[in-house]
Amino acid sequence: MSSTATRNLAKRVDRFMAALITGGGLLIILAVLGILFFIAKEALPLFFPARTQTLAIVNLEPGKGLWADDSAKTVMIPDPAKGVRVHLAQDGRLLDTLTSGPTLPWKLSTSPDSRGHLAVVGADGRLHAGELKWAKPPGAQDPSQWTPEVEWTSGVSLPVAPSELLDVRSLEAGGLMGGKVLRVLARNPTGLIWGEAPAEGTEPLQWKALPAPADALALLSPDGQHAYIGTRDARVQDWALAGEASLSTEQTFTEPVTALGFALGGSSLLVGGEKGSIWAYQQVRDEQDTKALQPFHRFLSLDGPVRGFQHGLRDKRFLAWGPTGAGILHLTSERQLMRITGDRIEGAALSARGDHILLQDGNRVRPFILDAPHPEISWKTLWGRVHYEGYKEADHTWQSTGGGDDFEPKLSLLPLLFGTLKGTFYALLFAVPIAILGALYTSQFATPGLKSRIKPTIEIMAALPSVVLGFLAGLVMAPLFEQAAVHVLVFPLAAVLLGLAILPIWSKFPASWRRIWGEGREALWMIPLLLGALALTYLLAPSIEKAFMGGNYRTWLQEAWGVRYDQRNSLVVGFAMGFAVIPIIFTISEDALSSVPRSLTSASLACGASPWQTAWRVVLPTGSPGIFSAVMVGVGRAIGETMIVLMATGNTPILDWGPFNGMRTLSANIAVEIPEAPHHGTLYRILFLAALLLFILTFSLNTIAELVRQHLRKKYESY
Amino acid sequence: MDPETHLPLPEPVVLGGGRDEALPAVQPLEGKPASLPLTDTAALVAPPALEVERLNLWYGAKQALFDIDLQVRKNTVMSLIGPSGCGKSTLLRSLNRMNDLVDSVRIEGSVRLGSEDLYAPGVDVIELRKRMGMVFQKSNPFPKSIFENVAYGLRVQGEKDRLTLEEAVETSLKGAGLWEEVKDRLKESALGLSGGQQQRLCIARALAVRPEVLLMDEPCSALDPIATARVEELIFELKKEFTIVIVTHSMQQAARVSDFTAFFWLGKVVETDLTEKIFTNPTNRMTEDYITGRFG
Repeated sequence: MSSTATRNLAKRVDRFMAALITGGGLLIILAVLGILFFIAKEALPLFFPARTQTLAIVNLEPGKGLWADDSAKTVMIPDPAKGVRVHLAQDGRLLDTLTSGPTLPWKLSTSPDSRGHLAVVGADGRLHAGELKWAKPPGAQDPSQWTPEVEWTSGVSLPVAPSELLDVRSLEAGGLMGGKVLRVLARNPTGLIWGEAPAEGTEPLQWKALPAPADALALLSPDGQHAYIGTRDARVQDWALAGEASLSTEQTFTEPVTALGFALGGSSLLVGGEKGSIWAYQQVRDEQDTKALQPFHRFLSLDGPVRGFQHGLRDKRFLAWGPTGAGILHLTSERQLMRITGDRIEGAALSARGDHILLQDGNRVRPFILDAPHPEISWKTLWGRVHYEGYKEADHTWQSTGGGDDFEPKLSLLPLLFGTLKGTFYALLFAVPIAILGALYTSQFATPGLKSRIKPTIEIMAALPSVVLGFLAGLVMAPLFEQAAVHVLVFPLAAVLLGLAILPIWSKFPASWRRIWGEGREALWMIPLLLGALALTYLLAPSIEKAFMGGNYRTWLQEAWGVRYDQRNSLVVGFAMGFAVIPIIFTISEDALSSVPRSLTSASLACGASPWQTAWRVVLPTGSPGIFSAVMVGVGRAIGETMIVLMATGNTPILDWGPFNGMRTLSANIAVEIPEAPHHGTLYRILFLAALLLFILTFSLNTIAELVRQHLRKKYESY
Repeated sequence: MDPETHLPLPEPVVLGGGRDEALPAVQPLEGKPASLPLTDTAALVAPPALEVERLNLWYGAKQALFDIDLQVRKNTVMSLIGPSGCGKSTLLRSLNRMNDLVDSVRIEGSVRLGSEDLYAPGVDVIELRKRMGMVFQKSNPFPKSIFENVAYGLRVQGEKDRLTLEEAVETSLKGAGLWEEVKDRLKESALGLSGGQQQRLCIARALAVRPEVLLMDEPCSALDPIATARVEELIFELKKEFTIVIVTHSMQQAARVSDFTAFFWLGKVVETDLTEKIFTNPTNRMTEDYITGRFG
């Protein structure tokens, strides 16, 4: 082959390899960006504003309130004159009229609540509780295939008819008889009255007086044991209904109360006022352990008075409406998802999924669609203090799932971010000194023979799967640690003391002997030293525990410091994760320190510096850029570490720096909860948000690290 | 310790201010400056500052130095010449026991500094190195400020007094002929200096601990002719205060700066004598061949 041909071939290969390498690099960047894009795509819909849609107005004759089914394809209207009318929501066509149950025409009726419960006093004066429902054959989409039903109780006779029915609850009766009882709240011209009677009996209902103003609004609590009352003189009261009604607590409101309602679950009382103010109250136990009403959420006001509330059955959103408009609000986030203005609105309904709203004024029904898949998420619920149901005060809480359908998800990311930083902190606290000092020793003092053994041994540590480390930490180390926590803490102290005691003796040995047996082999002498320290610890620790901690460190911690000792705590995680991080920091630091030019160490030694002075004053500063990146890579590893923290932390999402309790990290949280997160649900997207956060965290850490490293390298640039 | 080592350092040799680039073109020295006599006759009869006796050195199984005998008189310059790999640098590094750092090295024989044998058991090597300054082939300032570079030797000895340090830094920089060039930027990184300035900084660093002997391992091999000339002038000045052993590849340099010259070949001293004698009338045939450039 001629030399030109060879040269051309070489050039071609050169170009090809250059293109290949460039392409590979670009592909990697592209892949990382792709991952970022995918994560962001899953997480960002959390922050999209709600979308609304207005549908065509339907003409419908008004009745006593209205109730939409799950899909809001139909509307049921209780009509005191005709029974329950069933209409197609789309065009208002009458599908059916249900006349069973109470004799028509009805004397009194309540409006159906969100679940379709209503109560009626028939022409015969008997009280019936009813539930509106649909029998839908599986898979049937068309309302013409459905059968509307009202399930009525057989009726309770009322000796005295009230002037208005306020609230009726059908409750499980206690005792041997079982069955249901109706608890009734009503108004007569002189004031409020209440009573109770078996739903299916012949026993008439006996009224008892509720000494509240006659024009007050009233609502029964879900268990029927309380009546909440809102008065025209701006008071919200809680009455206990047992034997005789008694006022248990009272709160003043900002304005005359014009509406009362509940959010899903019935533990948050919604109160609306004449000027449009909307508040949520809940019952909390105060210092004296008595229940008290506490206002805990405030929402955007309506323009006019509030007339009523309806809640969805899927989440904590609710509809507040009044004559001049309506708003869809969310209890947890206090977000306003939708605002509708209207004129002379007389009734409103929110579908079970909370995505359809019907507003009635006169003969018209105005339907709306609300698409708000993640109403509970706002900047504040993710990062701020939120006052959740059942909590005395606002707090940062993570509890994504609970027992029932009416559970309020608590999705604060702060405890998780905190847990990540806490775990990293304890891991580095343990790993950084050991790894860097180890690297300094290995690179500057150890004999080449020793160094060639130490380095690979430590690098093999990095090959340990973190699940094994986590398993050992959580199931083996944590219980042992718990038994001997004092020993563990005394041991390093004993080692240092023993070392300080032995050094003067060591210096008495002849210099030649020391040179042969000591220099570069100090690490080997550490082994008997550590064994000695171990023995010393076994001798000392029990007496230390006895002398200073009264014999039991756990009680001592609890009594002297108010600290509870958790078996899986930050120290265990620090050790285990430190163990995972040490090889990385050690290897990179050792390389950085070994690559400090020999000429610099020679110069230092020739100036009369001792090897230690040389290592400390010349080698360490010169190698600092490398050490810095070593630590940063270690931080990155610790932040992203999952299995160890998952298995060894107890996964408690708390905000506490204490070494004796655990944590829940962002990464472990993703691993724990992703199997429980429904696809594209709020939790699912929150977990992706956590992933995005981790990505940003490690990315910015690495960027900062690289910038600082470049700066340091420029400063300590050498040859 | 000899009181003479505590004499004040010589006044700086000022060859114009600023950096090397700003200097007028100075030709490399052809001979010795007329003002600086080559050899003080007193020095020829001065007591030896450094005596090497029957020194043998092995790297593992391979012997690198054979029965070296050498005497360096006080306040003179001894240059070690010879082809690459002949053991002259090894010998230099044996003088302050820098070879201790090399694994598997074995040394027999004695090196006496004044009355003390450096290889006697129990010698404090660190103490010893303070009495022997060393300048390396390649300038190797620490990645610290100019001030800290010069003060390093004193700092590691535990000197903390700012005034003492400042005084020592100024004296040493003046001694190395660098003071005028750097006095306004002592806080700046030493890595910003030119190659020649860096090498003189390294000399200043070696001077700061006030050693008795200055060991120079091809101090000019990485420098341009102008910087080389300045270092050579410096050696002339420093000789008044210090005893200097210099390893060099340049025959001209040996001829210009040294009083005595030792010619090495294959780990042995072939000939050692007054420089003038070696360069004009060597006893040994091999020396003559090397000096006249027939091998090397």
